[in-house]
Amino acid sequence: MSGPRRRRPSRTAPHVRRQEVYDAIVVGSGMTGGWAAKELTEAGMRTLVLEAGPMVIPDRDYVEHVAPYRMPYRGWNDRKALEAEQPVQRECYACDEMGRKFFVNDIENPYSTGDGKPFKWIRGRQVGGKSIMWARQSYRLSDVDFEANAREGVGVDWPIRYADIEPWYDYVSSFAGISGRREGLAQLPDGPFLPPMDLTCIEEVFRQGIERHYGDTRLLTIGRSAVLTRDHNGRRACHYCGPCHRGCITRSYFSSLNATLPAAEATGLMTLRPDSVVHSVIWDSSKGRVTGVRVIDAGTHEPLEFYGRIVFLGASALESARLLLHSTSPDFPDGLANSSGVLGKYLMDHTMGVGAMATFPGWEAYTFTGQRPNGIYIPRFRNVTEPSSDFLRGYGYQGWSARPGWSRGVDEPGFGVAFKDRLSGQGPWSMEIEGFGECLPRETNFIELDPDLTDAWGIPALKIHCEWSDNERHMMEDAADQAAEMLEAAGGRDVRRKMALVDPGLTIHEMGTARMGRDSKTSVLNGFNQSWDVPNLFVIDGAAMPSSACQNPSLTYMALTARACAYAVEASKRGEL
Amino acid sequence: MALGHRVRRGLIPGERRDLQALSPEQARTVTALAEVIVPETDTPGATAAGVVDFVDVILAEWAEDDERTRFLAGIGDVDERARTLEGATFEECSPEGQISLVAGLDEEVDALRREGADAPEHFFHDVKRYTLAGFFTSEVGMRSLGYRVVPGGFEACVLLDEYGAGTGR
Repeated sequence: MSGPRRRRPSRTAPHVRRQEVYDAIVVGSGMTGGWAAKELTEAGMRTLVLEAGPMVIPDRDYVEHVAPYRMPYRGWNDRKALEAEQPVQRECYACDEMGRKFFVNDIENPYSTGDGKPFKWIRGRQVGGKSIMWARQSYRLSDVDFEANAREGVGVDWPIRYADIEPWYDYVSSFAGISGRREGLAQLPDGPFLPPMDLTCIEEVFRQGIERHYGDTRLLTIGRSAVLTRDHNGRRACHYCGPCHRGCITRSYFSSLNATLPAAEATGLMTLRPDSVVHSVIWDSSKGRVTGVRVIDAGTHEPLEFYGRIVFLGASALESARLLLHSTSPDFPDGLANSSGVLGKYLMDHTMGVGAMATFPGWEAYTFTGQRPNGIYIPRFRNVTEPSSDFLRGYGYQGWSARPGWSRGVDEPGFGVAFKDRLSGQGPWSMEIEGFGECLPRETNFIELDPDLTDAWGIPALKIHCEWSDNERHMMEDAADQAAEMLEAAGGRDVRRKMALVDPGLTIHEMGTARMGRDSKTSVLNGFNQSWDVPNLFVIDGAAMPSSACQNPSLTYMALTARACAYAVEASKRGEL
Repeated sequence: MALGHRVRRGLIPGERRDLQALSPEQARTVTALAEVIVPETDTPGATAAGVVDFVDVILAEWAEDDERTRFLAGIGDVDERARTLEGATFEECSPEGQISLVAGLDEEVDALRREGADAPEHFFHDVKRYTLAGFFTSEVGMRSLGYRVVPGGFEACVLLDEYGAGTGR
């Protein structure tokens, strides 16, 4: 997987590809596609991985070590290019001067939204997908989450419980390498962690303040991050350079490019085809199975077909659902695998942008060195250890401490020698926390194909209808209040609430559009991410989620994917697929 | 051109380029303004850091038309004030005259800020912003802060004095 020379051109030559039937086709090479590629090939299956975007070669394409003074705009971004080509993507912090090449061109990849319902769809189309730019926070769901829908009569019940997924959390965590601290919390189960990163002075002050004030109902812990704190599985420990979202030449954080795709490549059974925009899934009515996918070559626009015995969709929650909606037939006029009619519905994201910040005087003599690619986490307490009558579910906080640098001088008076000296030093310690809140599944948050809009390859674009409800808004009011209260309680000064709830989508935890469930009439997938309607079709990305919980979801997607692949391999051996 | 030579003299090798947005006269004024804001001390100042070239790139390729127009008009205004004060361009003024003029501009921005008005609408806010960024993100500026591309480790709570001004960040 390290370069074009290791690809197998004979397998992708047109006359061959039209005959070959792969054991499996995986659509997407990101977080879940990479896991499927690894699990399936390691089980002996010849697997074709189709990626809509271009090849990424770490030695050539990673840019994390480009110093600001080597950038044309010194990190201020190519503003005109972002306005012209990436007016949506630029809202993501990681779509910066060097990192923007890992985000899609919004003109080539348009979508529309319902009136008055802005949705920010952040996408990465390249080998590695968004696993290149993800924020690496890795948390487990618990039975607090898996039981919530059934308990409250919201959405549909999860078809699995924590016991079903726990061994798979362990499995993917052991391979990926998750650093963190064991805390023994029921609502946020521990895992086989690598050593935790340290808290800064102020984070430790904050941690102790929370412990003092709230006893055992709330706690602060270091973020659980898919970044290696020691060498692990042939990958090197982090060197703390900072901008992980631009790649990592030492492969110290988990991504499909850094970890799962090389493992799949090592089996010799993976064929990876970049620049392959999947158009639709091929349904064979007589067999009652899917037989492959139709592809449009991204560069030549040539229509192609690829065949496989099992098809796994891991193109991202919205792309996988879009692909199914676009795969219509007399048997499935409303989209493949959509006899339930819920395909595309129950779209969720996490709320973000609300919290509080404070300064912590008295620690000016202390600082930290290096760029820790991780923050702190305050696990959910609402409706777990402390009830709320204002809303269902809860939120966890992510946060970070900082000592501001020179840029604070832009909005301060002064110039000359003293000003320069002052800005060359560090500003006062600040601490900020932001609530990531659970979003309830609602039928009114949904996607459909826009009849009037297509992408650069002629495929119908999505029209996205999504908005927060009062439950999320009330929850975020509380998140701001509690954030301010905790900072005060720990000795913070100049405490300011931050109420900047982002538009849905921008948290980039979109999910739920092909949910799993216990009943084929109300869900698209069963508890193994397998289509109820089409036995040899699996959807392995965030589309499968029947509820969002409030934890960053990638680790759950990884675990569900590995579990689904093991199930598919066994079912395939039994001849059931 | 002696003055042109003076503008060019401090540039970092390899970063020399033709000005796109600034005239030679405007570039001299910007260079002198930037050096008053971030002067050479025991570490290099704005001129040595090539701030004028960064400002020129920002004005030519990054700024909106109205931002560029406001900035350039402001630079002309600085020279007008300099002529009123000392009968010379800003660059030719005495050090005391330059400091007095910059103090006046900085106070105008701060007065707007205190009134709650939109301080960034004043051209000198941009002069200072571009100058600070141009200096502190330059190679010499970042080296003066102790920046290392690869710190190699993370130490969560250390005495600032033991690391001097530089913290590896």
